[in-house]
Amino acid sequence: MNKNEKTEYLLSMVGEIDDILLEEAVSYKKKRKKTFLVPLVAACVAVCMTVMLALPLSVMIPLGFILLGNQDAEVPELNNPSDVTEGMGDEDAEEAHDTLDAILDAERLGKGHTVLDSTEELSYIGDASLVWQYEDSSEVYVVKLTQAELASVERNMGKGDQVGERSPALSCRVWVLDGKGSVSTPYLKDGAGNEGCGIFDYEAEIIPDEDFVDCISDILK
Amino acid sequence: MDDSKIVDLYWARNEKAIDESDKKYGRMLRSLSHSLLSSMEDADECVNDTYLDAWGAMPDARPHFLGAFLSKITRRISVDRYRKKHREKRGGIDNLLSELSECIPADDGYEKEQDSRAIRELLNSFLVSLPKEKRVMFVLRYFYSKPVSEIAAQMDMSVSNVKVTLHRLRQELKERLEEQGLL
Repeated sequence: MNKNEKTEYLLSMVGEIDDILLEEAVSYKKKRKKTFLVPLVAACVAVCMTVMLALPLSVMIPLGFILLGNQDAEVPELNNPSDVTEGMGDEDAEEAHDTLDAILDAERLGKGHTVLDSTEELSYIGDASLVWQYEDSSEVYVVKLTQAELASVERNMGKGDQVGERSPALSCRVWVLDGKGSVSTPYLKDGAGNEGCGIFDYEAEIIPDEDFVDCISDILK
Repeated sequence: MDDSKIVDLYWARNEKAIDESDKKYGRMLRSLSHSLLSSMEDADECVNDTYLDAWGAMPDARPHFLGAFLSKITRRISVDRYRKKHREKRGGIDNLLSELSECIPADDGYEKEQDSRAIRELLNSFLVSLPKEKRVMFVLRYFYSKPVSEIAAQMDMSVSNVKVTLHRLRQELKERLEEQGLL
């Protein structure tokens, strides 16, 4: 083959890459950093504060009594604008979450896991496992964990940053089975109320930190 | 309509499958074919041939990602049509071929029978090893034949940034091909 023929051949071979990669590219949307939101919200709060301060206190205090219905009610303190922005600048957390997503996505194309048609096929007692499922699919991906790997995963769970006002949209849910009937997730804080006996739905309370992501990355390598 | 429902229509030999496929993916497929052939007329024909092929492939095939399944057919038909026309028109494929030729290791004069499976596996593993952004960029350019400017807009990057990244990716791919003694 001469170089032109090889190039055409390579072009044809590119046409055979995995469907998941094609799907990923088509649905890719660059996450824009929401940096404009922080100054915008701060500006709105500043305007509100200016308006409130501009009104005579003689109007504000009786209004407060009327609203509270209590002659002894104290005038509420104005919030510090920075309190409004708490949890808004969680880009690092989103990045760790994206990295975990990417690691699990890459594993989907690997060979070291099992794919089940539904969570009903999971055995909750027997093998410690890492399990994940995508929002738009009933398929469940399972990677068995050794006891040492399970210990490492459990050590790094429950420690992430708390999510802000809103939980990130999770395209992929992740659970850890301990092989003795208990199921937990790295997206909820440690606690008896946050474990189940089977696969459960959840709204993320925390975002897994870098240690957890690194732990998973090491296991799946 | 969900991909699985459209595939069910194909399996049920319901012609509504073609309409639903076109509604959902027609624009993307025409864009893909047009970027390779630079002719809307040819692109329309390729897309129509795609649905014919898909009709013949299902049942038997039950693709999980219908868009990817149809894209592959369209791309293959478009590349074949381009070859038949013997490069009469200078179009998208010429630019892709020019860029991808950088990935071909230096010809040492030793002719080997090409192992398509090995190349396919190498391409997949190469792409999986990349960070998501770079992987998406490569696929958008060399599978979907998107113009660099469009990729830059979609990925919120500058055109020059995309060009430099693609150049580096081609070099990396070339190194991988050389390591494996392929092409």
